[in-house]
Amino acid sequence: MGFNNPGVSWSELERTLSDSRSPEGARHRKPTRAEGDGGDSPAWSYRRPEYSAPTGLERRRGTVPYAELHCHSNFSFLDGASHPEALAEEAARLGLEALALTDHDGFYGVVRFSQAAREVGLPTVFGAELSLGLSQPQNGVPDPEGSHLLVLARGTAGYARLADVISSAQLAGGMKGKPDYDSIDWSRAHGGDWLVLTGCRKGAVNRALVDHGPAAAEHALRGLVDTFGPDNVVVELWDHHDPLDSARNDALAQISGRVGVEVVATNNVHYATPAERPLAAALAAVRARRDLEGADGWLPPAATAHLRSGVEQSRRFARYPGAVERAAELGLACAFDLQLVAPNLPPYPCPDGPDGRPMSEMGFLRRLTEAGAERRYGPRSRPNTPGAWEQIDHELALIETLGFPGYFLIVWDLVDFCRRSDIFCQGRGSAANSAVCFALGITKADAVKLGLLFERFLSPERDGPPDIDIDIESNRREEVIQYVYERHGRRHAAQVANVITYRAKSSIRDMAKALGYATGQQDAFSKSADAWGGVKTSADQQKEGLNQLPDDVLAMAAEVEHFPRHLGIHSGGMVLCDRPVVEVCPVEWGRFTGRDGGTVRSEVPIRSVLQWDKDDCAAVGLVKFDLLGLGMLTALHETVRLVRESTGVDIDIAELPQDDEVYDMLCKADTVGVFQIESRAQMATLPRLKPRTFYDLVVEVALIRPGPIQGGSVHPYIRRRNGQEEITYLHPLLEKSLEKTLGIPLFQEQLMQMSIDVGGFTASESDQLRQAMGSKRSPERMERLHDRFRTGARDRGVPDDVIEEIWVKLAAFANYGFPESHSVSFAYLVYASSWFKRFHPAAFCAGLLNAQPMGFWSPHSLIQDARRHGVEVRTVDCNTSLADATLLPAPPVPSENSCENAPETGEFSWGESEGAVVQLGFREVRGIGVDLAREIATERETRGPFASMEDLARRVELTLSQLEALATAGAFDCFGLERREAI
Amino acid sequence: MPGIVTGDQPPPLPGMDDFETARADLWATGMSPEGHPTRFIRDELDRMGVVTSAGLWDVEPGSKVLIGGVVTHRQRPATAGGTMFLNLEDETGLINVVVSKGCWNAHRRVALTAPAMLIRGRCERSEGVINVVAERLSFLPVNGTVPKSRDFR
Repeated sequence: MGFNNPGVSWSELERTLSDSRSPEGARHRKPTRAEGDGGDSPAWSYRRPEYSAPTGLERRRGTVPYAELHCHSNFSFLDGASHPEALAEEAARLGLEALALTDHDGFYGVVRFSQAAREVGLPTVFGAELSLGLSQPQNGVPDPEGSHLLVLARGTAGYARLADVISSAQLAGGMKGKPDYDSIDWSRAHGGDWLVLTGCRKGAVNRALVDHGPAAAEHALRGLVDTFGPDNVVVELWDHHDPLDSARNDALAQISGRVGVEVVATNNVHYATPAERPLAAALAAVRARRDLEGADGWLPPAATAHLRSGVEQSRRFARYPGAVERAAELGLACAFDLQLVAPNLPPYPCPDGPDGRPMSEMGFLRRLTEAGAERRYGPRSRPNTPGAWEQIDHELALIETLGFPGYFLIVWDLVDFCRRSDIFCQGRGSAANSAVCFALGITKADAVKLGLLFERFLSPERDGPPDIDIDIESNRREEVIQYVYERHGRRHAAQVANVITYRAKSSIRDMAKALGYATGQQDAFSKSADAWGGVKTSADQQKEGLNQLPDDVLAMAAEVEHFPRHLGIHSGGMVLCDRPVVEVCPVEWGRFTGRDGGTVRSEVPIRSVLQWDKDDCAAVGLVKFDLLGLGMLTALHETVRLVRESTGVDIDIAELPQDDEVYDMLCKADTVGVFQIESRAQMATLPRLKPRTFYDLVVEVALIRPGPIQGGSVHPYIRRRNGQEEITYLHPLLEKSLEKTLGIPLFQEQLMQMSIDVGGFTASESDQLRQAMGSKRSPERMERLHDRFRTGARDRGVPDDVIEEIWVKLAAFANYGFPESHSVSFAYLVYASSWFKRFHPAAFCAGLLNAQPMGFWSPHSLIQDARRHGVEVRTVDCNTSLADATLLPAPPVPSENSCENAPETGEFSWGESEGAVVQLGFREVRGIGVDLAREIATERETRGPFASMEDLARRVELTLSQLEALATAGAFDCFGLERREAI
Repeated sequence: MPGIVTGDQPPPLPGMDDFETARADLWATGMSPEGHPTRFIRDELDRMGVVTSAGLWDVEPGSKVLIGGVVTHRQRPATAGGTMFLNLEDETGLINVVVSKGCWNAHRRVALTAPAMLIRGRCERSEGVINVVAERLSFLPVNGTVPKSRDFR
């Protein structure tokens, strides 16, 4: 078999023909780097753009009513070949009455599907094709085993029941990709809320028909009827022009008559239009892990599994009167809009109050907050910070009005768990604007003293709860995640998925594989692809002769780009829900087991994950908590531990003194290893900014925009700070908001304050403005706010031209602003890590090594930098090293190695570290994982030092290559063995 | 088993010199406490007129220089319009290198694959920050293992 794809992709061709906006390009597009990824600041997080229908697309009404009840999108991974949006659009174009989305064992695509369908006015049906009887995940199997059951939900109750059943099966399977429905009690599961179709050739009825004849098929059908009820089962007929299709449909129609159930026509759809058929074939080949030629025998012979109109279907199914019309009736009967769920948070179990009855959530929150506030701000009667208690009361009142006390209690509980378990954590983001969060210990920034604007965090007009993200030391984050599962249960808590999509490199590799190129060629192709610009850039480069990618690979890759490939786990999002979240969206196991490293280990998956990504969750109104891993918190915790163990001094990172020597070091850009400001861009600004106070660090964190600054242009703030530019304000009213940043807006809070001071906005109006100016601008909303701003500013006597000038500034700045609260949270870590680098360089270096992988610099660069600061670093030693890097007391006489290469005393050296030496740990050695490293160290600690290399090999199970690696690393130098001898 | 010693005393092998030790360290642990790869070719680099990271502070700003070191990072920030940034490291410190789009394309293979580079360019210095604007990139043979660079993160 062979086919030639046209030189242009289908989407391009279609755009050219129809002169409409590209269906692929405009809406299913992932961000280019410039839109999305400029760093880890919240200002840059990528959101899926809201769906907008192609202009001019309106649902036609077909002359023959028909609804497609069996349809796979590309969320039937590597099976369907069209985006859910594309299917909805095509269904509207064909004038279908409704469209069902029935992906395998899940509701992966339903949110995208329903968003698109709503826009084009198409009624939606939700269902799934369940894979029964899988013994293992079916990747790489050309014809997956097991039988299929096609279930459609009749309304929201059926939807919840189906989601629940899929979740139970996915979790029962114990691993990703292997749902296990054996324990499902089907007759109780459906509740009369399902419509069951007999399904494709893998359905039980069709299987029986082909394998054992009509009697067996009838038996199977009666089985379904007994389980689900006669009104809830229909026999599915389809016609893919296969020679046997008519014979089978005839047999099925006869059997259905005997059993007394209806027949219904479907087309077992796998792509929107016939043009996607080559792609579908290629995907099927990729799924079966072979090329198209090898998969040929399993591939359908013609492009027939596309959406069809009622007219086309009625022509095909003329022999079965009513089958097509019945599809329309059933589709309309089952259809509903997915705006079903706006789930709340689970109730928080509060302890008893003074009256002996459980406190209300608000009562409990108030008590916790007031206790914390007394510690921070002094008692109400004698406060040590003016305005603090008023702020606390104001915030609590708003939290009560908006009904979010439970949200704060859940976060407080997490932070309290970290405190009890000695896990470093810190709230980040806009939560640092809140005095309540500070009092509860969620954030470390004193919002009152720093004068931060609470409304950036929470305001009456915000829909949905606020956003509290928590940074947790990265190697212990899993403990916190597991605590959430334990506290709230797997039916109520789940992690958010991350849809892994095809990018340029992976699409080129997989399509080259499908097209039969050799493995070496696939590697070479995918390497030469441009990782940033997408397939299109690689195609342009090919035309310029910059790469040798074949045309057929490029054409196919362009089509498959942005397709979902599989689900990953979102970096930290967890969803909690008052009703079982498994009824809102099915949950399945992620691959993660924690087996390799970390503090929570298991042989089986331990993270249950929703089938939706964060945008899907947000669209449905699920509340997400972000638990993010931060390597620097691990490094700081390790550093504190090492300092305590080597000197006996316990350092509290919240109580570090402000020290000029730390700022001297920062002014010299001596920041390798320091949080956030160690990268090249930040290093380049430090000598210009010359930070001298903590607030300078807050500014520094916000100032970095890699491109403009590295490219040589200097930020106006730095010019003003260094006196190269006069400090001016467009209007005196701006002085209050912009004074602390010398008249240059840097923070989102300033944007809000500007609108308050100049335009007379209320605090919550200013938050509306910030949101309206965000990435998703609505012209009407902006115009309304602009009017409001103009009126307010005129009242304050601001001249019209200045009003417009300020407005333009606000609009231009909105997308670049950084939340000040976020900067403050990060600046604390910048200062803490700088302080340790300055005063405990050896412990800091060891701490960084133990927190790897993290940060900008490689371990080699880190130890080279430590050396330049007078720290001695020793390589692995089998009788001194532990699993991790540790500190040794300074040697009485210089060791043999170091007398020759005494640390160079460069310009930055202060050589007054605590005299400690960094001893590298076993886990740094190639091929020796954390577990083995700990085993070696434990063996030595419990049963005495190793006498020789042979002794070590006897006492700890090592492979030859691991032993060689230890020898090469010099671990046996202590036996007087030359490394080469040891090897 | 205890007490059993393998074979006869083999003939002694020559010891490792500093360079070989550093290479062994880098292979086995990805870092070498005592030796940076460029330290061992410094004599040769000196002969070629290569300026060290520390030495750049004595170079007249705006003049042409030849630098060399191990590549620690390759970056192409979204906002920089195709300009690339390299970081080189030698035994005295770090060097920032700016590579224009044209220069990158002209030396694409070196730029993308060289673990260590010799770079000819112009030394720029302003307000305590040194950048070398690259004009020509070439492979620097450092003979052995070098730490792997962190590219395009």
